[in-house]
Amino acid sequence: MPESGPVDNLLSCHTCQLTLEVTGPIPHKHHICCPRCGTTVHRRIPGSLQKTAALVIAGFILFIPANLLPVMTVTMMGSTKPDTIFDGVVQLFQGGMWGIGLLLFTASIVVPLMKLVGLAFLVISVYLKWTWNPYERTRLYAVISFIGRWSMLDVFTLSLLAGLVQLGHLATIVPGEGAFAFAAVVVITLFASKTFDPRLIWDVNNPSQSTSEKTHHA
Amino acid sequence: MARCQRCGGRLKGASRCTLDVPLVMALTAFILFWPANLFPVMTITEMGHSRSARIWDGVVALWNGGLEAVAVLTFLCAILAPLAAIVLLLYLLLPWKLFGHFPRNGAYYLRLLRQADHWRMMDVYILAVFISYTKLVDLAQVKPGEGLLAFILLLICSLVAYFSLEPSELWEQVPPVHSNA
Repeated sequence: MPESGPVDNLLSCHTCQLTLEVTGPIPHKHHICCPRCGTTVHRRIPGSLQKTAALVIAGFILFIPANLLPVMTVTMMGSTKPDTIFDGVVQLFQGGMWGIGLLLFTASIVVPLMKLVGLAFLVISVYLKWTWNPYERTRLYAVISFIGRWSMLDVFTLSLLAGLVQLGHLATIVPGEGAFAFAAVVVITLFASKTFDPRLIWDVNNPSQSTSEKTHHA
Repeated sequence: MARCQRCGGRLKGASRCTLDVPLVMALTAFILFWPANLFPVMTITEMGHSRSARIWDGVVALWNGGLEAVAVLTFLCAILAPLAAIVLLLYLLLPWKLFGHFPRNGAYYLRLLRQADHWRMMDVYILAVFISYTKLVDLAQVKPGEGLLAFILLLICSLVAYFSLEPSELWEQVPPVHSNA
């Protein structure tokens, strides 16, 4: 791992990557705006660990109703059947569509759970100041940020099914409360990965530029 | 390509092509957006009754089903954010092509474009169309609607526009926030 020198006098904008030269400390409540794009620039996202941890816990709690409550109710020939996310996957498997079933299972159950567990792991690893393999942990963060959006697959499928199968003679599909919890998990994990600051992973290995408190003025 | 020394993250790439490519793609996408949203993406026929659904009908169905927040989220990801990204790109690139300079406060709009990118999920939506199709095949007669082709082409144009842009290059050219250039 190449060791970088002390860069206390440089600050990079999150949005446009403009490098700012900073000298001297700034008061705690003061913040710097990027002169190019106007984004508020921080050395580290303020309260990053707390925010991410709170969102991850909320995500874990909502993950339970998201999987237990029905995402839709199918009325077919007079009989009504509530369907959870897992039921939808099982139906695809039973219909012999293994590939698509596996895809839906991955997007709706594996990805949200992996995101929650992964972010929890990253938060704990930073909180406990682990020095273990920061490179791989940064990669994990990049993967988590990238795959999160694919969990919306089930929400979009539900929207299409509910839009199509309505007041028909054969069947009616009505969306259920489970979909709300599920969508909430997706959105919460999207925000959780945004509030986590991956630079924190490296701070333990490079103590010269640690903590969000050590801020300087432009 | 410049990469971060520590984590290997991408910092800056070589210029990929002229800005003409994203401009043309954004213009095409802007035209395709309307048929993709005004025509149905799928049609089902059950016992002689047909029903077609546009993307918007799915949003309405969620709203009527009592899931207003989920309806708004679907609207944002499948309709609003893609449109916003196209319009913002056109707003930045059309003045550049026609008058030779980027609009005032260009960096602000480029920042908005980056934010819209986070919520653009047309690629996920296409996969959802495919899954809905396989789920409905046993239930009724399913046909892809006229809007689906437009939607696929719209997705391709948006992706090409997105990947042909080198963000750092654009950031260096647009006038900064609060400028009068």
